[in-house]
Amino acid sequence: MNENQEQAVVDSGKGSLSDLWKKEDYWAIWLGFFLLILGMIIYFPNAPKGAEEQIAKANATLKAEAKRAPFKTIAWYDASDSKKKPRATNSDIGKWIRKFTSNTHGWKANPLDAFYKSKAAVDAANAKAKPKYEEAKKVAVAALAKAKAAEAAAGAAGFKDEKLNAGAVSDIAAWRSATAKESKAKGKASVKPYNQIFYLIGVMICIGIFFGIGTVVMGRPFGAFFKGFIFVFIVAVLAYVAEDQATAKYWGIGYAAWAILFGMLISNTVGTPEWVKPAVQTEYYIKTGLVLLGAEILFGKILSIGIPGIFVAWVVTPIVLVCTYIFGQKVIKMPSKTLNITISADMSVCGVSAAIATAAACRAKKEELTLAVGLSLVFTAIMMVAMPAFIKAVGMPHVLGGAWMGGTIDATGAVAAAGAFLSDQALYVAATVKMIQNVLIGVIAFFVALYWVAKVERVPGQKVSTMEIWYRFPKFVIGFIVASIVFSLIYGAVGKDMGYVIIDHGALRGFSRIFRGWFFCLAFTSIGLATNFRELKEYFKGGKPLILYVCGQSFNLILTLLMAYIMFYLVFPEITAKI
Amino acid sequence: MIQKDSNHVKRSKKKGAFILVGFILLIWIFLYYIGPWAANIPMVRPLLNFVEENDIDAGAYYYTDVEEFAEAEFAINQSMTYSPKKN
Repeated sequence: MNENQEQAVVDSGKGSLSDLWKKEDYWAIWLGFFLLILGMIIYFPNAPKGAEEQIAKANATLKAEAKRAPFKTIAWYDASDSKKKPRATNSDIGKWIRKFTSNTHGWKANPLDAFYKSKAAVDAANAKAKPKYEEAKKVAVAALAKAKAAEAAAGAAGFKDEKLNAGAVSDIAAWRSATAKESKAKGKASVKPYNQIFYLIGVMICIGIFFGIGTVVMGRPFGAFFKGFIFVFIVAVLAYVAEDQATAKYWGIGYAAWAILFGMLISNTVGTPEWVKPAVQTEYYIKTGLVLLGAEILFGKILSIGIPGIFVAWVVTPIVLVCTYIFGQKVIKMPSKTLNITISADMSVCGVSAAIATAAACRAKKEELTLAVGLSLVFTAIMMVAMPAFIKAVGMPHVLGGAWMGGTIDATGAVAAAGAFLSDQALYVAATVKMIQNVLIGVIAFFVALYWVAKVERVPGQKVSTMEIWYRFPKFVIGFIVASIVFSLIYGAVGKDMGYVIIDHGALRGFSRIFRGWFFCLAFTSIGLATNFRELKEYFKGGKPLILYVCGQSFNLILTLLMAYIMFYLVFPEITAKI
Repeated sequence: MIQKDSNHVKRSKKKGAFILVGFILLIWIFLYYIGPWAANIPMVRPLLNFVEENDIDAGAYYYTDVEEFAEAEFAINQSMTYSPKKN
């Protein structure tokens, strides 16, 4: 029986009650849900006191100012700033969790700075950064005075003089930009000393025990797992250290790439030690991380920028995904369907996170995920640099450019970099389109999993029953979808404003995201530790993955630009005018 | 025979360790020399300087990992809900 036949769906699958505690997929769900519930228990009662009143007051000001003037006034921005201050992550417990679970710190020349910085070193760095902060503060104060004068002049004319209005808009924009610079300079001049080593040991023990419990119940010895886990965790920490190095940071080389690289270097040179292997549990870590990721998929967010955003992110993306997959099968004749769909999702949706979800949903091989991540990394770096340069060179409107970049650049962080480099307006649109696209991961993972068990893995010509589909369906995807639906419902029930305080900046950014990052990093480390470089080379034979990526991305670039132009400039120009 | 195999394993471990050190050296060269040198190419420099100055995590994988996304989403929400009425 060949490999394909072994994986084929036949009407013989059976499930039993003990699957609930014996199978990795279910453990991913239980562990993921445990963390999500814990996050809710910690953060939901910890909204800052008076947050609702503060938000209501700010909303009243925003409403009044929106009526008073034809542009966003200083009071409008002040109200907006005051509204975003209350965050559950700023509570005492939130700050403690952040401190305890942080990975490593940024560094430039000395890797030890990633773990430890003394008070003397921090004081010296702060003193060096202080003059720049003082200068930025002065500029911000002057810009505010100028903006106030311009707004007053426009107000004195009853906001009817277009020239005065335009002057006020420009001066207010300059004040906002100066304030943002001041805030960044303040951050650099007020660094606190840190010693992350003991916290990292604490995180290692907590996560080791966390996964160890499931390991024991699934019938594997805890001691052997934990011993190996220490090694895997240390390599994962090294991946975070590399990500935090200044050069890696501005080139956008994230922990996934480093974790795979370090793991592969070890496994292909000195070899992964036998005693480490019980902890090389790629699927266990990745599935638990994906259940946590489900909570970050909030469906309420897809309406953030109205219908144009949905068209750019939710219509173009599936079209590109399906067309690229078909192109890969019919024209390029990709040797592996799982590699084809993983690269197609990675390229059309949002890079690494989409690749992880899709690869897990269709049970792609670790080498295939590695290849998809590698391709995404290279093209993200190229597009992050080339797209803003091109948009600037041709004088493309920033709303259009933002939507284009948001819909096409793979990595989310690179979208932020390229968008912010162009302008605030480009960043807002790019980030919002990308965020809506991020939400699509849940839908894509679900349908890929379903398509795989119902169509791809079945014996040709054989009918597959619903029960069989259920037996074969990767159960962690159910956990992933349930987490998404539950958090979307809670987000909808508490409303956007309070959702921002206790969900976005509470249970998600303050808890589940942190652990999800660690779990993915452990998963990528495990992938590297179990990957044979020679086998990886086989998947790249003939350069087919590269051809698929380039063709798919070219189609993506054309279709996204076209759709963004039609939606933002022809069909909904009034939405564009609001941005 | 066993002695021969054990010598072979030792030799191959030694060779592996040398290759590992070699790759670590290559990574170090990239981070300290090649990466910063490539970042000085005129077309690339403005963007990478901007990313470094603003401490943007260009390698982040999901929207919740990037602070700029929270800012952007918030700004768009405010603009859509409390958009000033044009004259």
